[in-house]
Amino acid sequence: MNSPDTLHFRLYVAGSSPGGQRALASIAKIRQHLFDEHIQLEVVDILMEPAKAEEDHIIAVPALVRLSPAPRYKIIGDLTNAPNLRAFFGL
Amino acid sequence: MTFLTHSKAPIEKLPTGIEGFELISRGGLPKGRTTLVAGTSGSAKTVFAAQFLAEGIRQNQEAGVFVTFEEPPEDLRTNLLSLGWPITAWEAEKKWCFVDASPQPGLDAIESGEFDLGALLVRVEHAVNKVGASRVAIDSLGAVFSQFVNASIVRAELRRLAMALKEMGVTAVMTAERTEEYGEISRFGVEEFVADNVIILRNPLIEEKRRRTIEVLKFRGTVHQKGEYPFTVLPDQGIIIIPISAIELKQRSSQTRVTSGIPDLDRMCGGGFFRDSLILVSGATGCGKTLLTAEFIKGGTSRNERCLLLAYEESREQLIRNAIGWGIDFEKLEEQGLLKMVCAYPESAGLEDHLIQMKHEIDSFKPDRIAVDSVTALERVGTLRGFREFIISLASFVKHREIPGLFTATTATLTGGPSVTEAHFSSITDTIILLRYVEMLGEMRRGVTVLKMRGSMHEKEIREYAIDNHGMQIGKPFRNIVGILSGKPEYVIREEYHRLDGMFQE
Repeated sequence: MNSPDTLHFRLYVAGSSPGGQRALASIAKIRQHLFDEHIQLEVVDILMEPAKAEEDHIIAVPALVRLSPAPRYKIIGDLTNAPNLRAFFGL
Repeated sequence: MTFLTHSKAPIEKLPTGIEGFELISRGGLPKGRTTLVAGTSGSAKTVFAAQFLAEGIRQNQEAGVFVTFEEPPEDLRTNLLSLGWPITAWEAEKKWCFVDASPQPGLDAIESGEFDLGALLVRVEHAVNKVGASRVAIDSLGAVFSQFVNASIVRAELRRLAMALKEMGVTAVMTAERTEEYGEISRFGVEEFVADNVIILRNPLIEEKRRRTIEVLKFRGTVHQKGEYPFTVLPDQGIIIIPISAIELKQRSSQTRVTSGIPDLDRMCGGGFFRDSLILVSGATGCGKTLLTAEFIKGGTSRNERCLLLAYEESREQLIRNAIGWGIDFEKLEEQGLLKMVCAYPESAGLEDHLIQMKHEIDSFKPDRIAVDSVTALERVGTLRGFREFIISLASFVKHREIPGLFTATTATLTGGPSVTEAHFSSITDTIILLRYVEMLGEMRRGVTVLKMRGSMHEKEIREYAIDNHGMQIGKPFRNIVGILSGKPEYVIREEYHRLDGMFQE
């Protein structure tokens, strides 16, 4: 399952805000272009887990962090700006 | 009939604990509100923000949250430790909490689409609740803008943060950068959402010297002192503000007399100095000011009064040796705990720092009389304006202690003439004593006169004095000589003298 080319992501959202919903939709769209098992996505709601936002130094939401493979990358915003996002996922 | 009533509660103020700040702000920062602290780079904004929290913990056990956008917490812990604030220990006691929003090295964020700073708000709120904070510091707003490309989102979000802080009921300071000492309040237009209360920190370079000042620019709906006040940042203490014109002149006036140390001089003053008076001794170099200082100390210590001597012209060894020559043993007096000598090189610190050191010595030694020899030596350390503020502040501080303070001033030339010290000092001193060289028939002699003695009769004559191994010996008045004070003494023949003497008699 954790093959070397698996991508681990964590998406920070604030509750069910529209920005967070848009980000999730954008990620779903990207996933259509990739094999699903290559992407592991964890969604963190900062309203429920503020301490986790502290850990990753998140101040803006939505924020998507690539945890692995190294190096870490961070992208903020609702991910509607497609060219940026595709580059982020290596497409 | 209906009456319109405006019964808004007055704005309460939160004492910050920063020395001098309560005086210039008339009580502290507006409670439950956010105050913008703006300043150029190096103007001690971060110190102010951190001290606001530190004094809350130290003095009132009020917890605080420090939101940093610029320096990582590790750096702040180290830097602030040098100011005497044990941040790490306070964090363990849940008195201090960092919200680290500093840029992560090697983790540049890409912006893609819309975002908000909801996570920041959540984290600040979380931290405030965690430690039960009543004070929040945010340092600095400019650094938030540099982390994001979209400035309009940041501006809107910071406004939301300011509103959230208000709802939380905390008293907050936000720091912001300025590019000029005298110009727009801050960059990025941040004052538009924290405009109610604005404090400006300045650090201009004047005559090759840095001079820090603080100004409460506005406190909406409440009063404060206007204008700039000098301050300094000291190790182990942080910011100390010197509230010159906020000093109140409310000291009582004493009729009790104390000795000058010289019985003849006491007689010239109409029975000695008043107990709570400031005495200025003016004279050229070498004419006996330090001697008069020593006599003043002898006069005090012989009545078991504690004396503090602040010396800026001579070293300890020189002072001791000179005093021995006049029959006064400074070392022995120090052993008895009746005297404390503090010798400092004028250039060793700025004027503000000297003033704070003087106050510290006075507060800790609690002297019954104090002598400063000479004030003129400190003239060259600061700017003219700075020196004037220094003189007024020092004089007022001594006067509040209700003890006699003897200050010496060196005249510009050997024969007298005004000095900067005298120009600033003479109006606030109660007593002025002049020591002057008098050239008479090819001989150099010395004269002393009491020029001013507020609230008392005093002798108007100029008396000759001599210096021997018992100190100062005051003799008879100069006769047959005019123009001593103008520095051009002239001998007048006896008959002429009597004629002049009778000229103004009816």
